[in-house]
Amino acid sequence: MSLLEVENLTIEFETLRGLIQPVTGITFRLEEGETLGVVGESGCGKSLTSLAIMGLLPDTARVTADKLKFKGIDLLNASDGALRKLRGGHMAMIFQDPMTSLNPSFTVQFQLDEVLRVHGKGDKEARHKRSLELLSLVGIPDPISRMNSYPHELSGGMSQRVMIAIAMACDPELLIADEPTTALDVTIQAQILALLQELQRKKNMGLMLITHDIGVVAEMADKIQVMYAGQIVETGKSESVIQDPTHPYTLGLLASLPGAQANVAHRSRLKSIPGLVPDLTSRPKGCQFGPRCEKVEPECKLKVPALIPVRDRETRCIRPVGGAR
Amino acid sequence: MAKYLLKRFSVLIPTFVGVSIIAFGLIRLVPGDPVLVLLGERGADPVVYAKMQKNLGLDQPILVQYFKFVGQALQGDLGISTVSKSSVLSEFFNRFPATLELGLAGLLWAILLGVPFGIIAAVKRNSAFDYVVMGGALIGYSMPIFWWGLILIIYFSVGLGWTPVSGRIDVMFDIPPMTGFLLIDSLFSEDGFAAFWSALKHLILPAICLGTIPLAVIARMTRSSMLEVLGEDYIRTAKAKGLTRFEVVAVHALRNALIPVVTVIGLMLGTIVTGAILTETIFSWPGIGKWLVNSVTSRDYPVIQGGIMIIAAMIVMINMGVDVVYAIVDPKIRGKS
Amino acid sequence: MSKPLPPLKEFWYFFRQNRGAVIGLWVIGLFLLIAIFAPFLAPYTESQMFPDALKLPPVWSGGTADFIAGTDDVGRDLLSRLIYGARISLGIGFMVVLFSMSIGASIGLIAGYAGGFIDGAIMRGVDILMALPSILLAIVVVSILGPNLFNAIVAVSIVAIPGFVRLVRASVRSEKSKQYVIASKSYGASHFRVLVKNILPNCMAPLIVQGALGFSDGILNAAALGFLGLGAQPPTAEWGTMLADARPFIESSPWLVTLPGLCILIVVLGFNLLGDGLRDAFDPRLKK
Repeated sequence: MSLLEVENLTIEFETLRGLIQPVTGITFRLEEGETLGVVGESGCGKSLTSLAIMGLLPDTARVTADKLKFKGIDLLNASDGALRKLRGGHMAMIFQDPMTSLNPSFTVQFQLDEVLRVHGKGDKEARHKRSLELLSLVGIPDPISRMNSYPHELSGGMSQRVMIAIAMACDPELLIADEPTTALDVTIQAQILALLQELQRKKNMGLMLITHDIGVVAEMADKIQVMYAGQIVETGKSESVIQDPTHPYTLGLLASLPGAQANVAHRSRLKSIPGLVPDLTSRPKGCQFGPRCEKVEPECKLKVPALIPVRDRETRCIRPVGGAR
Repeated sequence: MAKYLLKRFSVLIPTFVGVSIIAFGLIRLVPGDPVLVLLGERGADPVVYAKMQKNLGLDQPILVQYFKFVGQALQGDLGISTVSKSSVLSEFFNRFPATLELGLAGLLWAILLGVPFGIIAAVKRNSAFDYVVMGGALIGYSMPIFWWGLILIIYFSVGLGWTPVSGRIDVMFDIPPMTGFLLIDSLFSEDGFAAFWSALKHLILPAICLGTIPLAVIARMTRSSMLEVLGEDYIRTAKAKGLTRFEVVAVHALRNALIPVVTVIGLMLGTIVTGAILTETIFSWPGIGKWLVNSVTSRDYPVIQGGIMIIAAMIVMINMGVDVVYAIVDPKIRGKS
Repeated sequence: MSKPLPPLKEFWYFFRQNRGAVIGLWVIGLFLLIAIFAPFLAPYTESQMFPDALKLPPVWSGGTADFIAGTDDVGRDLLSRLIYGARISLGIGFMVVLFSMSIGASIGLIAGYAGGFIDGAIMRGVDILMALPSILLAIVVVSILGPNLFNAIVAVSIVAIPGFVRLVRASVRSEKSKQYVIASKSYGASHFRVLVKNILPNCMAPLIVQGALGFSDGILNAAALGFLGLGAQPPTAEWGTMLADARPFIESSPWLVTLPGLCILIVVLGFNLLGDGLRDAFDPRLKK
């Protein structure tokens, strides 16, 4: 039994301009102690996928899946009470902007203690001890005085550490980190990523790391899953995907990364991918990446390509690139 | 914090000066000779004329008059009512508890109903409840309350006979004044609960009438503020912690959503005074509002002057108090100073 | 992505989306027609008395078809008085908005554009006016000028001025620092030209919204003054004054109280719906 099993996950929204499907037929698994990097531009459905797993999508979202299981529990049909036990207890999530993710009206102590209390982790004293432990664990100096701070008194990096402490409070088996460093200073970003990696190894958690920066996941992830317009376009072992991408979009992401070109088959100058992510109300015919692809052929526009095995992974392209090193 | 308070206080002074000028100028702006206006054209007996002129302070140069006026006002001397011949200040404080009791009851009714309605409407957005509450709030907000009070009387007092038509308490009860609040004083009187019940029955309709517009404003404000807060990132965090829907709303959303609502309630004082003037006239409630309207009709200028000064001063001070309380409550402001 | 619509069409599109605003516009349109064609619509004049028909109930509660909404205590036809009352109330609203908007916007322009001491002095004055509750301030003005319809309009207009001053001043201050204003000044455009040509059109939207809400406040406040006996005087067919006249007969002839107030409520509601709808249609933040 995998930690997390997702099969054919689809998310739909009814909008004024018609039904949109920001996530269409996503399938993947995550094992215990494994790190999965989910990569893609904004609007490709990464965050929605993670919110669907956590059950945090708004009521207006329609979520369907052949399978959406956490430790064998069917998340789509579980009772509200059972889901609440999982959330914060067994699966936790940290978000992009730590400054707005903490409630401005409550102290760090309250917000940390709350998650412990809700999941029944000991009496007041035990929880206080545990809170201090957690703050030390995430590398916050002087935890005792920080307990009484309000969020606005913390820097962005500190806030994200507090968010991580809240997420780690109940020793979750799965941690979803949705762009955890995007809103932070560059110097802090590396620290937070290092902290996440350290915690993941120490606790043997499953970590789902969502980012638009393929460079971030290259070092941390066991598996990489590249998403485009609500679909997985390439998925496989981290080194393979980075060293030898098969999908033109992955190639484009890697080529747009400063300093990473050395590893890439195409040694060229820093490039950006031309064009924009498709408008969800008027998706292109055939391959979703077609309109932006340099190597697009008439055949690409016939139908959406299936996810096919290429070399040691799967890719959604009828003319996979690379391979001839 | 001290600096903030000092800054807030310093803004008050020009406002007070301005209000005093308006009050002072009031009687002098009346077209024609105010003394003659007061005495009537034919009663121009020179002795009476001079006495009246002196009483109104009109016998000296204008600047002297103004400083005398302000000086006396600062000492609590707001002049003598030309109708009742008693001190304006004592008349004011005789009537003030009645208005305060009415205003507080109306506000209480508005808050107790408006806040929960707004919260439920926001949480159940686009539901039938939401539409009914918001439609009702729009009507309440547009309500001519001087008509609404009469409608309440037609249905509940005349039609159903549930409540009395006017006044604060049945004439058979003699309540010795202590706090001035009849709801409290009545309990200590000889008749005890019976008197209290009578006072309460007299209070209900005027309070509902006065509270109608505040109720509508509070419900709308609570709903929109709640909707905004429910979309915040920290609400998602709270859900991700595994809190129940109720805990998310009651603990994490409510606290933040109520901050602007509290401000609006604090700033609603003007609406309440306006409402009190109209409500008191409808229900013959012996408070400040009715007193002021009567004084305009009877051209009792010292009463108008004094009433305006006291009410303006109270409103300005309370508005400032709201700001200060707000600064104390909000950790962001509190932390920075 | 669809092409952006021209501003006016775009505005109309969003306005049409707001059901309340459209209802408000219909209500106002209806009352406007009633006011304009009052002499043709009203069965009698507002002051014509029928001594044989005192306090006759409306036709739906046992009255006669001659007097559909019944008659008052001196035998005047209530329906005719309500129809002529629409003229007065809409007229009051129009005058109040005209006075307060033109005066308030001018003062606001000056304050916002001049800045410094002039701005400070004006805004202190506004603070003082705002410290007094609207009806109280109107009472002050009426107690100086004496109670009649015109003075009530003046009083209610004065009450409404601070809102316009604040709004225009805020718009001017935010517009003043924008590039195009600085640019047109550098071309040597005169202050007045800059003010009127560049700034005023840019604060039109909030001004129109405030204007619609000013209508409702004006009508409501003037009716309140009429009710207190400090506004229009009997026998004027002003709805608030009619309410005050009908108070003694609240038990015997409740329709004399019910109908004028209902008219006030509906007209005020119409303007508030319109104002809310206009605000939503103008506010780009809500368009998403």
